[in-house]
Amino acid sequence: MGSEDEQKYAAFMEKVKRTMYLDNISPQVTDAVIKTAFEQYGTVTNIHFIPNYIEPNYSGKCALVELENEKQAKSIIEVLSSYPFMMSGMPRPVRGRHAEPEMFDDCPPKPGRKIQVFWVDPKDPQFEVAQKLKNLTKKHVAEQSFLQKKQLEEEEKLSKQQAETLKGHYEKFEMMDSILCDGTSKRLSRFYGVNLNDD
Amino acid sequence: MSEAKDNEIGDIDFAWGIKRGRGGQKKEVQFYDSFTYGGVEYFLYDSVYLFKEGEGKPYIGKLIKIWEHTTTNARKVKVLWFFYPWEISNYLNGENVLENELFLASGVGKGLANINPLFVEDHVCEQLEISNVVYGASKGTSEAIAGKCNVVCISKDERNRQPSAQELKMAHHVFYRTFDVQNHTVSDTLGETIAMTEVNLLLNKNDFQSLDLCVVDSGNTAVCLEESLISYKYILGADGTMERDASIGSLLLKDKQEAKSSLDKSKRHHVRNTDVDEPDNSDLVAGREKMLVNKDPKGVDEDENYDDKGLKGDGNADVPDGLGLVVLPVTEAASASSGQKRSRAPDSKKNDVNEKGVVPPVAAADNKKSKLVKDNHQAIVAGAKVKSDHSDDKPFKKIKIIGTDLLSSANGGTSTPKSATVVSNKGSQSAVGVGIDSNKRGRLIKESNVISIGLSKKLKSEDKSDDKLLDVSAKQSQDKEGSAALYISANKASQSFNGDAETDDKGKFSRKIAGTSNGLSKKLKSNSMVGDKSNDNLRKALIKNPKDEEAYGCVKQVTQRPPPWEERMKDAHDQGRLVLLQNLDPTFTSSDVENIVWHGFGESCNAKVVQHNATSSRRFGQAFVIFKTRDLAEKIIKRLDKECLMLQNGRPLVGSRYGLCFPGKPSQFPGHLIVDKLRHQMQRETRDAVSTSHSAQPNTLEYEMALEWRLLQERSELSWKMLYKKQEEQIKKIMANEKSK
Repeated sequence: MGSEDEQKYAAFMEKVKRTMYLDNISPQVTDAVIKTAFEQYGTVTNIHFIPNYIEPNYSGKCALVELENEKQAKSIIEVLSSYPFMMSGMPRPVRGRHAEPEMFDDCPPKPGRKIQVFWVDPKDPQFEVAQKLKNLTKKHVAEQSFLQKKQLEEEEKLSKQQAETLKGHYEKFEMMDSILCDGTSKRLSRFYGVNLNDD
Repeated sequence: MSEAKDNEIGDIDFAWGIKRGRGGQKKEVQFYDSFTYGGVEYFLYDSVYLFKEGEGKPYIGKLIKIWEHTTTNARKVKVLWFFYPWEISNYLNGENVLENELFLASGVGKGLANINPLFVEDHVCEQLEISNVVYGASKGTSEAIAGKCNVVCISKDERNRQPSAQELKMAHHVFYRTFDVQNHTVSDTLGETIAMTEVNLLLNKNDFQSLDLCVVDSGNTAVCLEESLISYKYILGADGTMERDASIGSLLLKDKQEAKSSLDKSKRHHVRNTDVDEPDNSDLVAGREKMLVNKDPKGVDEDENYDDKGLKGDGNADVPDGLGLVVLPVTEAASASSGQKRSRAPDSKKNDVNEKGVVPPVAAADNKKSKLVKDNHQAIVAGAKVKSDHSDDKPFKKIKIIGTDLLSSANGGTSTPKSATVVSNKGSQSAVGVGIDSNKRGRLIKESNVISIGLSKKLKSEDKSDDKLLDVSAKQSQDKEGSAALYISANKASQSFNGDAETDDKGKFSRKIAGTSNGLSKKLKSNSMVGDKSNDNLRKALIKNPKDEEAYGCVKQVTQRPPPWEERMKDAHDQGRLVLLQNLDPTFTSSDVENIVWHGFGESCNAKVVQHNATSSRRFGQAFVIFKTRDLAEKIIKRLDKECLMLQNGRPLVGSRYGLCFPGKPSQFPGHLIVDKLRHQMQRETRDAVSTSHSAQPNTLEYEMALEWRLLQERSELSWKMLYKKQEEQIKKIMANEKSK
């Protein structure tokens, strides 16, 4: 039994190693998109989107992408970290990293681990500590949720800011385009005696 | 029109029925309107039970397409699903749901309909003997068509033919709302099409219309309905049992078919003997008394006792009722001597059954005799019994007496034994023509039979045990079977019977009968259920009910169906049964959490660990836990709050009720920008989204902006790390304090 569990756990850890974790994914991304995107780097064998029931406002998706082997997973993570990788939209890049066992749905129990549970006697000094710890835990959860919210706000801020920038750039390009097209540039070049041609 | 193809595969008799058009690019697809499987003919738009292996409750779906690919011989059916309320309870938002309500799938998306290869396999559902195995494309495993399901649409939509009381009574399920599988909304308005099928085809079939009209016509029916409403609780219970009975009956159909034929014959005889009944009426009182006496001795069988009681009650009620109208008598009798009447209904039914068998041959004199000898007659001379029953019925019906001849005849013919009194009364009341009455009775009888199928079964067994009853019981059982069969083929059978008696009146009568029978059956049910006066009756009924349920369960091969976790979690969340456990060790698995709850609270539950993502705390695991009841969930949260359940490493478990958020419509994803003027063009390009994945090149604006995002991502990463570090320190501090103490 024990060895069976160990084998199972070892097999699982192998799977963890050849899996990468993606986040900052657009909600529009589907299995097919991910599969096609990484086909040039390796063979995608399994894709699992991690459901998020906890954070209400987090619109990005997370996914576990299992590849054929660990090498492929490493090389793709390498690619994703050296170049911003766009998936179903620009310019926010997808982020890739190594998967961790806790991210998996089907994580088997670690072999040899025993779980102990006991009710603390209210007279025990430990009880007070435990109560404090519980409160702390709740506080921490609240902190996490607050940070998450803040980060989402920052993302939106950056997004808005970039949209403005993009708009400005686009208007600039459009103006240049129209000047080149309607002959204004030629008239100006003649007027100023500037040679527009490269030669 | 109908060409039966010799398509038998293996041992299963399968045959195509009515052909429809051809389709497909090369006309290689042959559509069908019907097919026969295992002796049951399935038509397009029929509702069917679909069993999925390993799942207890059968799915229910409507066949909206049946076809065969002629070149590949692939047979397929398209099934439009019905949802059970519990499947979509998240989206009902506390709306009232009828006990047997279903929701028709609508919209577009997964869960609407399956196109299943129709694969005939040697998959035998016990008792059902029907086993078309359909491999569900979306659901993954095989779903076997396991018989027809009577689903009635009660939508007020003008396109929907409003169901009659009888239909409602006989319905296994009803529906009037749809569930949009895409938007997860429930609506009571029906669109034009669902799953490419015109909605009016999905509503009630029109071939029952005449019946409905008849029902409406008969004032009796209305009365019955009102009565039924009054005793709605009982009716509900009764309906439930009725349904079960019906299903049982359908199962037994084959066996009962023979009985049916015999019944039909007997019914015809009864019709002929209608005149005899009148003299019987006078005798009825005596007969009643006799009946009562007889019943008491017969009392061995609970059912019989009931019958006796019912007869007695009927007799008593009949006298007063005699003043009232036929329909009224039933209700009046019920109201006046509710206990008696209640008991009567079942009793009368039994009597009717007996009568059915014997009546045709026996004359009025026979009836009288039978009354006197009732017990003997029942056992020996079914006809005599029938007569006596008729007479009993007549008294009950008193007013109807004139019509009683016809009624009695009708009773004898149709369901004289069981519901005969009630039926006959109704029939006589509403029936100007005897034939009509008989028809009504037949239907009533059928219904009552259905209702009392369980009873009859019990009675049969009882009868068997009792030698005296043997003959009678046999007859009764036959009658019952017949009635069950009738019930199954309900309207048709009754119609045919009526036809034998009086073809002209058949339609009307049958309709009326159906209506009255519905009311009667309901009444009978309610009566039997109520049976305050006759505790025995109640007990019997109760006993019967569980039996029926068991039978039902066996038929359905109930097992547990594990729906997807997300679905269950939503259910639990909406019902307040969901608890979020926090501060778990991150290496815990779902089963570990279940164990912890078991050891900590002695309660079983379903748990699922929340999957981590990049921003999750590394030292902190969470799990969603579903408890059986809301109270239990409350209790556990409170206890976790007040006391401390300590895990190893000094982790106290924290429980809370968490407002779940389910991925709804994805909002705009921040950071994916599109130049407004190019939006249209962009969308066209991104439609083939697969081609848009790429690495940004360093000399582009995109790259520049992407680096800004990278920066943000790094900052976010850092802030998480800092937060967790700080949290860790806080925890360590507290732990250290503890140790130092």
